[in-house]
Amino acid sequence: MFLNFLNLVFLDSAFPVIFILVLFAVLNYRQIPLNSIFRFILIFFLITLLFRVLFYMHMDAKYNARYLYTLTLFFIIFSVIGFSEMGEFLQKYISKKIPVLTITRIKIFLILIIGVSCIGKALSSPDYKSYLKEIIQIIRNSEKKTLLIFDETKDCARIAYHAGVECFTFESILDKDLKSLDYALSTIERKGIKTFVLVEKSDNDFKNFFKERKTRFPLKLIKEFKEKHICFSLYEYDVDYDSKLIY
Amino acid sequence: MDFIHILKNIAKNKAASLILIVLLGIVLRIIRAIEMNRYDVDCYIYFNMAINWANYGANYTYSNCLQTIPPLLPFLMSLGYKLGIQPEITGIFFGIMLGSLIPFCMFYIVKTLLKRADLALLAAFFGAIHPSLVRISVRCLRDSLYIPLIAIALVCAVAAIKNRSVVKWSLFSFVVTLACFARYEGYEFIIIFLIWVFVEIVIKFVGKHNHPFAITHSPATIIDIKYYSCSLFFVLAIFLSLNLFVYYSFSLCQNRYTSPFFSIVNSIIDSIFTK
Repeated sequence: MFLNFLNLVFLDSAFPVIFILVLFAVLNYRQIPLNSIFRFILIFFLITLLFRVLFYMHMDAKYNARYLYTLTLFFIIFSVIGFSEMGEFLQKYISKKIPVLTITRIKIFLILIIGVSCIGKALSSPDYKSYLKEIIQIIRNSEKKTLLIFDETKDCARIAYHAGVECFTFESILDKDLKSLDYALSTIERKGIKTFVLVEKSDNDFKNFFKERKTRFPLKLIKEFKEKHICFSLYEYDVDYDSKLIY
Repeated sequence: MDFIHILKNIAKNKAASLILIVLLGIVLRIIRAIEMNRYDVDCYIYFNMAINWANYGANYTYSNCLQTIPPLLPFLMSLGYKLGIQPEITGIFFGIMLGSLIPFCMFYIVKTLLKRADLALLAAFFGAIHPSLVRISVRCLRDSLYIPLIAIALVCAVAAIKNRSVVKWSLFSFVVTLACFARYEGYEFIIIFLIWVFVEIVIKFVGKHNHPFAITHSPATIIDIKYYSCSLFFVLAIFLSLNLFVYYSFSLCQNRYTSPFFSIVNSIIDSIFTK
């Protein structure tokens, strides 16, 4: 359970390179002045960490790494103490073998390595949830002005907001058994309101959902979007299906 | 002149190095803001709140949107919206501006703590390029205001401890309260402050006399007692009065930490006046 928490602290809050420097600072604890300022910063770290752990234990939803970013300030302050220690440590083992590498040069190389890795990480992977962009583009480029979503998830609501369409949940206009979905959709479509249907499920799962309830499936798949464990399926009303209906 | 000499010469001029580091931080944040897509979690809630706030005021906003969201970010966005700027742009602007203050904060804290300017510059450099801090700065989230405000609060605390200044503790209280209105986790800082005062008093008096109640009337002890009690009073007074102001200004905003406390106070006052 705490492995995930420690992973977030190590990878996101501290960042591995900075964390290694903090470990060296722990080894070099004699350099840390035990004055009032240090005590304040230490209490800040301990109390913040304590509250984050308690929050983590009592939270049902996904725990975001950004909740731990206040600890980053602490890690940065103490990583610099480890920096000089790490330079001396490397000097002991490297300078004997390669005399050209003096302590100053080792420190400059260290700064360059840390800088490149941090800037690389900071600017990499800009496409955060790239499927959102794709779905929003598809909805924006069409003339349809309504989005029907299966569950009221945050992702769906934000897609509707950025695509500039009105969004309704299934539950708000239909019964829970979905028996009236085909009728409701065909009525909406005949009024001239073109509707998308968005579900946070794979296409197969959503079709099985209808099969289990012995309900007809009046939708046509536009595209299935997958990224890591998240899967979205975007549908529109099947026009051919409408002609088969008898009222 | 080789590369290392150039770096050494730059590092000799501390002020110029610090400005260069801060500029690097701003540039990184702007690049990140340009390349990143804007479809961030929760931000549409803040956009809606900001537009409602600008058009109809705070009470309408809190009666129609999520009442548990602290007011600072929607308020700043609504100010921008009144000037004709998109809420999204205002949010990112404040994120970048406050985020680029983090290197200054790191520089000051490390310089005061370790008394070494070279290590302070290194801390400023880490503050400018740390991936988590760069990434959070350009997102339209409450965290992009909260983390720099916490850094500024730390600076105020360090300055107050260094100079034994009650005015700086008051400034600390003001910044912490602003941080509380960005994210409610800011209330932890008041607990941190109270624990710190307790620890300091114990260390000062127990260390001196071996007995906590054996306080002598020496001038130094009296100055210490005055300093801690004044700091405590000002920090709590500013903190409570600002919270009370926000509680009455945005009565529909449900602050899960202070609302229960203030509602009890309110009911007591009501019961006294109705009698």
